[in-house]
Amino acid sequence: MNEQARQISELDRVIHEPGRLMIMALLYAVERADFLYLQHETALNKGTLSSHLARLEEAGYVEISKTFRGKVPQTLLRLTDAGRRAFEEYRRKLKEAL
Amino acid sequence: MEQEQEKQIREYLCRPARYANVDGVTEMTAGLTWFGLALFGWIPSVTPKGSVWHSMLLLWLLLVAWVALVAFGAKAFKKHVTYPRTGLVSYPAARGKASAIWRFAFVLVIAAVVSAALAYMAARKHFQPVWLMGASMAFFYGMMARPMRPWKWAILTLMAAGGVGLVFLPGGLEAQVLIGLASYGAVFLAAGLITLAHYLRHSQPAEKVAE
Repeated sequence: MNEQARQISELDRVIHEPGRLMIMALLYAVERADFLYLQHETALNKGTLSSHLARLEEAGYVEISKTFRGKVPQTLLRLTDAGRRAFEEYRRKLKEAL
Repeated sequence: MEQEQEKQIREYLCRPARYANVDGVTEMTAGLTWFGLALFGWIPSVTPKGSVWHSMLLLWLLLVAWVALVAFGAKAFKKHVTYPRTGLVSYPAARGKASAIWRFAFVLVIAAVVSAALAYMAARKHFQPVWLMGASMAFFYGMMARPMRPWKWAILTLMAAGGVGLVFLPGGLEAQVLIGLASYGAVFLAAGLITLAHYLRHSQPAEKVAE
């Protein structure tokens, strides 16, 4: 295995999936955002977005909190410190592999 | 492929900043602020000397109230119109005291250099400071009016060129500055309203979005 292939194989698989990478990048640039914003920006459908978020939450990268805006339920999302570190590490490794 | 991925990541990292003006509210806020400055600068020139409208304290208080009202209105608009349509984003506060101090120092240095350059040029009559208004407004607009659609580049060019036109207005520097502020306020406001109309046309409240 050459060096580049080895570096690519070391990339965080949870983040490497394109849908989750979009979510991580969008959340990295903000303090927090809601589900609707992510849905608009990623153009993913509700089910796919929910399943990616569940995977990221399971990995400890995203914190999900449910609240209400008036009478409308609202899902707020933010990257955890571990998520921020993992994203920075992922980008560092990706740049090294280029 | 990895290079493409890195490019996409950078694009996604920039999106939330562009989202701040997706509804034109940032442009309208700036426009109304310039209008306020022009209005409270103009009032003393049309009221009798010795009237309450010549009190600097009162004008400052009114200006602060105006800016607060505009800021409050912008927040309310976001809460009741933007967030239900395209979602909520909260932006990170400046991280750490050290970074805030460095940014403050940077602004102070820039302000000192610009002030010294202006004083030097004005003293030698090489320069009319009102020229600067067009350049600074265009720069400010370029920073805040993202996403920069093609028609916004035309506005930006118009703003930069407009600064030169201000110099030829009659009535002295004070009148030029006031007319400049009111005109730039109108342009910011109009650009914001166009952005808002575009936004409302291409978005709808979440409840109405098909599941």
